Formats: sequence, C-alpha cells, structure tokens
Amino acid sequence: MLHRSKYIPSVIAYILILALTLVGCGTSSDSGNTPSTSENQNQTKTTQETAKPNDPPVELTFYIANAPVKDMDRIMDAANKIIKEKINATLKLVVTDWSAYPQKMNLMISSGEPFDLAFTGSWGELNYFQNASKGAYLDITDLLDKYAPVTKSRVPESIWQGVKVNGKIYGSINYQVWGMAGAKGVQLRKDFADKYNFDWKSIKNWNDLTPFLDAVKKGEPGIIPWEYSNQADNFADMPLIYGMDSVGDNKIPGWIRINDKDVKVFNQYETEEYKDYLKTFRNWYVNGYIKKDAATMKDYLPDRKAKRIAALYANPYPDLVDMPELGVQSFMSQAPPEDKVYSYSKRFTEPFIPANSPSTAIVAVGANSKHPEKAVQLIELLNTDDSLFHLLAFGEEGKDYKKISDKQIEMIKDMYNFNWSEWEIGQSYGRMLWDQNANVELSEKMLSMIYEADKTAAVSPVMGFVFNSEPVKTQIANVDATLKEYLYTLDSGSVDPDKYYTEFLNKLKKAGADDIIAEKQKQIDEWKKANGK
Amino acid sequence: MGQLKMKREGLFSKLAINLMFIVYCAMCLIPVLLVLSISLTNEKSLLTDGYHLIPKEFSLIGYQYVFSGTTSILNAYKITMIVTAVGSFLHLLVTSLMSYAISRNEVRYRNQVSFLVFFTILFNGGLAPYYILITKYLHLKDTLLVLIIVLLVSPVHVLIMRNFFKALPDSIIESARIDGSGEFNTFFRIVLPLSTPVLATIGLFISIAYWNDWFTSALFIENNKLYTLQYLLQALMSNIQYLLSNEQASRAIEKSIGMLPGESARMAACVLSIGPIILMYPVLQRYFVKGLTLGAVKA
Repeated sequence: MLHRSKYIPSVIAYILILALTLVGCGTSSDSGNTPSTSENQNQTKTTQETAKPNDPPVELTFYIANAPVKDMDRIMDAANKIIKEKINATLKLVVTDWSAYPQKMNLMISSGEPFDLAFTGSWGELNYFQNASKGAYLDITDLLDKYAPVTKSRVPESIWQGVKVNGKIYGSINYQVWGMAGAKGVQLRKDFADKYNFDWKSIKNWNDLTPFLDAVKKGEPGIIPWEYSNQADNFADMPLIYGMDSVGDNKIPGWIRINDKDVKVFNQYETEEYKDYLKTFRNWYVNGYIKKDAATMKDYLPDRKAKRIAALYANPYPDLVDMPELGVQSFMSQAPPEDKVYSYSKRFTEPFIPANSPSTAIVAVGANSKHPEKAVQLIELLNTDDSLFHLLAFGEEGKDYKKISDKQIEMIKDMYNFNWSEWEIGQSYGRMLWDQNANVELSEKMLSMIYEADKTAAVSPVMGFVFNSEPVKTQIANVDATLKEYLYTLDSGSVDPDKYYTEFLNKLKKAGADDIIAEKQKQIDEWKKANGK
Repeated sequence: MGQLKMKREGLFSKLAINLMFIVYCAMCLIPVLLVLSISLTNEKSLLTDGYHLIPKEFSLIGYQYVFSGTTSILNAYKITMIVTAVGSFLHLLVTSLMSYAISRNEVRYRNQVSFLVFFTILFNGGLAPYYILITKYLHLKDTLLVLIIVLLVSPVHVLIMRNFFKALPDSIIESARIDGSGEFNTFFRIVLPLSTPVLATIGLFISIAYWNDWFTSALFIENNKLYTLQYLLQALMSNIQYLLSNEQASRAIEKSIGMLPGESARMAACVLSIGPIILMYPVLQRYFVKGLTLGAVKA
C-alpha cells in the first residue's frame, strides 16, 4: 500500500507531461482541419457560382514584412475575387512585423516549411543570395519567360543580371517606383543658398561646399551647417561619389573602380580620395560645420524635423539642374511640410547602377512551393493588373480613398492603409495612382527620366557577381570591430587624421583586410573566367 | 540622559532611512511619470522644447495613433489577458505538481527526472530546432495554444519550487498520511496552502513573462485575430520607424494628421503595455507577507 503510493506523484507527473504533448497535437490538428474544411466549402460554393467545372482554386501564401493592416480581410476578399477569376488561385498574404520578418523567414527556410512567395532582398538579414545558393528558392528562369513575360520584359536585361546566382534567376525584381539608376549629391536649404549668393549649380564635390557651410556657420546661429550621420557615412557608404563601387558590404575593405575594365580590388581606405576626404571633413569639423557628437549620434531625425540642418547628403536624380521645375516640390528631407523649407539639390555623379541595387526588392518562389506555376502567374498578375495592385496598395475606391483626378487619389483617414509597403509585392507602373500630395505631371516626368536612365546608365563592372564571405568570416568580423572603433570618428572629422589615420590602416591590416581583398579578387577572377569577361 | 540620546538616535536614523526611501521612490517613479507625460505631449513640442514632467502642449495624438493605427488593440488585450491568466494558472499547476514529485524522497528515479529537467537549462537546441518542433511535429503554428504551451514549464521555476518543497518538514506530510489523507489531498490541502510565498513569486514571474512575450507571437502567429498586445505594440513601433524612414509615407501622414507621433506614440504604447499587469503586484504582495509571517511562526 505504502509502496505503491510512492510512485503516484511520478506517475502523475509523467501522465501530465504526456497528456500535454498529446493535447498539443490534438487541438492543433483540429484547428488545422477546421479552416481547410470551411475553405473547401467556400471553394465548392464559389466554383458552383462561377460555374467553372475545372479544379478548385489553389491557395498561394505570400510572406511580406509589414505591420498588421486594418481591414485586411475585406481587401483580401475583394482581391481574391480578381485573382480567382484570372488565374484560379487565391492569395493568403501573411504579414510579419519588420523587426521579426527576416528571422522568421530564415527559420522557415531552415525548417523547410513550404511557402509559395516571399519578399526578400540582399540587405539587412534578408540574405537573398545566400538563401538562393542554399536552394531555398526555386529557379524561376524559365517560369518567368513562360508565365510572366510582361514583368520580365519591363526590366532591362542588364538589371536581371544583378539577381542571378550561377546564371539562374531565383526571384522576380520589384522594379521600384524610383527606378534603379541613382546619382549621389547634396541637398541645400534654398533660403540660405539664396541669402549668401551661393553658386550651388556648379558644386561637384565636397570642397566646393565649404564656402556655403562657412557662411551658414557665421551668419546663422543655431543651425548645423552639415549633417554627418553614421547611418550614411559620407565616405564608406557612398563609393559612387569617388568613382568606385563596393564588392559585398559597403564598409568592408575591397572596392573597385567603376571604369576599371580589369576589375582590380583594392583597399578604399588607402586611396588618395580617402585622404582628401579626411582632410576636408577634419577641416569642417574643426570649423564647427559638423555637430560635436556626430560620430556617435544614433538618431538624426530630430535635427531634420526641427529644421536645424543647412546641407546634407542626398540621392538626387534627377536634380534641380536636370529638372528645374522640381523646385516647387523640393523640400529639405524630413522637414515639416507645412513649413515649406525649400531646397536645392545637386548631384555630383552621373546616373549609375550599382551591383547591389537590382536585388533591393525581390519576390522569390519557395523551393517547396506546391504550385510554382501559379505563383509565377500571380507575380505577373500583381505586376500587370492595375486594379488588383491598386486595391492592395490603397484599398477600395470610395471606402478607403477618393479619386480627385484621373491619376490622383486622396486617402481617407483611419481606413485601410498598406503602410506604403506595396513595393514589396510588385508594381504597376505607367498607370500608377498618386496620393493627394504628389504633383502628378512632375512625378511622371521624373519617372520617365529615371526609366530612360536605367537603359543608358553605366552599370557596375561586377553586376551579377556575388561575394561569398564564408572563407574570410573571421577577418571580416575583426575588420568590422576595427571599423567600429575608428571609422566614424575619423570620417566625421572628430579626431585628427594625422594622428589616427596610419594607426587605423595598421589595425585594418592586422585584422586581415588584405586577406579579404585577396579573397574578393580571387572570386572575381573566377567569376570573370566563368562568364567569359 | 541615555534614553534621550537613544530616542534622538532613533529619530535620526528614522529620518535618514525615510529620506533614503523617499529618494529611491522618486528615482523609480519619475521615469514612469516622464513616460506618461511624453505620451501626452504634442510631438512638435517634444522636438522643440524637449521632455518635461508636465506636458508643455497637451495632446492625445500618441494614443489616437496607437488605437487607430492597426487591427484592434482591444482584441489584443483580450488575447493577452486570456493567455496570461490561463497560462499562469497552468504553469503553476504543472510546475508545482512536477516539483513536488521530484522533491519527495520516496519517488524512485526522481534524480533522473530532475536531471532531464535541469539539463535543458545548460543545453538547448537553439531557435531553428525549436521552430521545427513547434511547426512540424506539434503543428501548433497559428493557434492560441502555442502562446500558452511554450512557456508552460520553466526549469528554473521547477528548481526553485523543488527546493521550497524540500524545505517543508516531512513530518507534516507523514502525519497527513497517517491520518488517511491521499497523495492528491495532501498536495492540494496541505502542501499548496503552505507554499503561497513560492506560488506568489513564481506566479508573478510567469504572469509577467506571459504578458511580455511578443516573440512567440511574431514567430508562430499569422492570424491577425490572435496577435498579442506586446506583439502589436512592437509591430506598431517598428512600423513608425519604417514610416519615418520612408519619405513618401511620412509626408503623406503628416498631411493628414500633422506630424507622425514618433516619441509620443512610443510612450503611449509603453503606458498601455504596463496596463493591468501592474495590478498583479499589490494583489500578490499580500501572499508574500502572509508567507513570511507563516514561516516566522513556524521557526
């Protein structure tokens, strides 16, 4: 009696553990079944309604990063009517918060969980190239030609090169509203430039700006003449300004020159351009054109919103010399629009397509997708069917937005709002709707200029090359630590380059910068041979 | 004379102690008040005037934004409360049953079972196997249950509770047994009432863990009716970050609602997330005190 009772607690514990596991399985399979049966009922109902005797529509899952969207169900119902009619499929759009999306996708990929479509790219932790070479995405080179010819033809061939892995396309490019070709330059406050008679049209490099910054410093107390931000370092994050392009991550040593046919990799921190840059920025810092804490400042928005910035780096293409009429809607970045802080923008460089820009926004088909053909058909639909795209991007006319002219709409407050994330799912261009703030004529002229440039702009000599950083992982981690220690203080001019520049270079070498450069060169040479360049 | 001196000394130390705690309380309270104040301030005033304990320009726009922004916050509140209440109760039940079993000397293999539990403190499979287990084998993706089950047993809590049960005098349990009480009866009528301090402590830990858990939701929940509060607020925050960095978006928003309430919405979310969980403390405090006195009399 007593002997038996000894076991009771442990038996209870075991039973409970077992029971919980079983309960877990039981309810989940239940809940897994219920929606599918109800869906089946819906499907049979709709197939009866449309009187189509063919197969029931397949459900395609599409994962994107976005905050939870209000009234999503209503819009999806409407969207699925269009999709069902066109390609006999339904779309299940799954949104995951931006902060968890990359991790979630990587987990789904490593667990082999099937998905039909997913938004990806080559920045942050989205890892398009690694995932594609791992086999997470389906090779859609042929499927695109067959099922998405319009989407394929709209993007110039040179840009498709930028998403190929081993010669195959693993994702459809969301050829973004703002095009691919870009130029780097600056944005100045119009009122100051006019007040000090600054000849902004002729600036071509940082040094040309000095007189302007000086005048602002002397004449405008409380204004920061130049915004240096470590989020967009004025040297390490903008190789184009110096006629170079990065290979892999921007800041890691090993850039190439864009006009170099031999594609020689070198350490960008050893160039004359970098030494000149340091001289200029140290001079700016000492003279007080740059904020004292610029090197460590994390959040630049408050200064911009409070209109304290007189000049800053920008991506102006086309700029106010290319298209002077843009002046009426050109405001300082992030300044409150009701204050109408006008700006001049001037680019330093010609339009150029860097190697990493085609892979900014990609829709990939999952390797385990059961309906890859339908998935590619959906890509085509999202890129060509304007009513579907507008529905997803802006909601329903009359309920979520009002049309105020042929191409312009006004969003209704507190209704469906896709959080301006429509660039993740595709694009309908040509007949794009603009919101109430845009000047349609100007915007369209600007866009056509960019699309034109995309066909003619210089393309990075390493377009289509993907650097595999695996063999030099340790060196990259070490170099990264050194960069964190020195780069921002040097580049913001906070420390004297005469003292710290050589120290910085030595530390980089010790951390293994040369190994990284050699590895990049080796891989590029192999890539060139394989592609017959 | 001596007595007077003692009185004075007592007064002085009382003053010092009180002062210390007043300062300490202020240090804890002021940041919370500041959060409250920022959440009630106009965004523009925050940028130009900085932070103040009393809002310079009162505005509810932060709260308005949080409530209007996305799917229903109220539904998320409901889900989080259900998960927290059910989850904490089940956690306490499972953990106490298990800890009691492995704390009793007459249970065979208790050390082996304990080892299996404690092994997971030191070694775990990592995120990917965890994800695979939940989605592929347990099929718990997109269910309310997953939010409860993943936090159901915590090895640390089992360890704490086992040690507490071990400290209970064997003689109480034995005398109960002699009086003819069954194991369940002993456990629920004798052991648990003696264990309110540890139950209150673990209950507090776990209810806060359930309340604050957003990552489970981010990984496994795709149905917007099952979002938890913390996930929704987290999503709201990263969405504000995203919108602020998107020129086109922030311009359009500014046209319609003035300035995108970055800071104030962030703090409003913070205030909302403190929510009802703060009520847990005064409720549970009673049990802490009760437990302490109970132990004192016994000793």
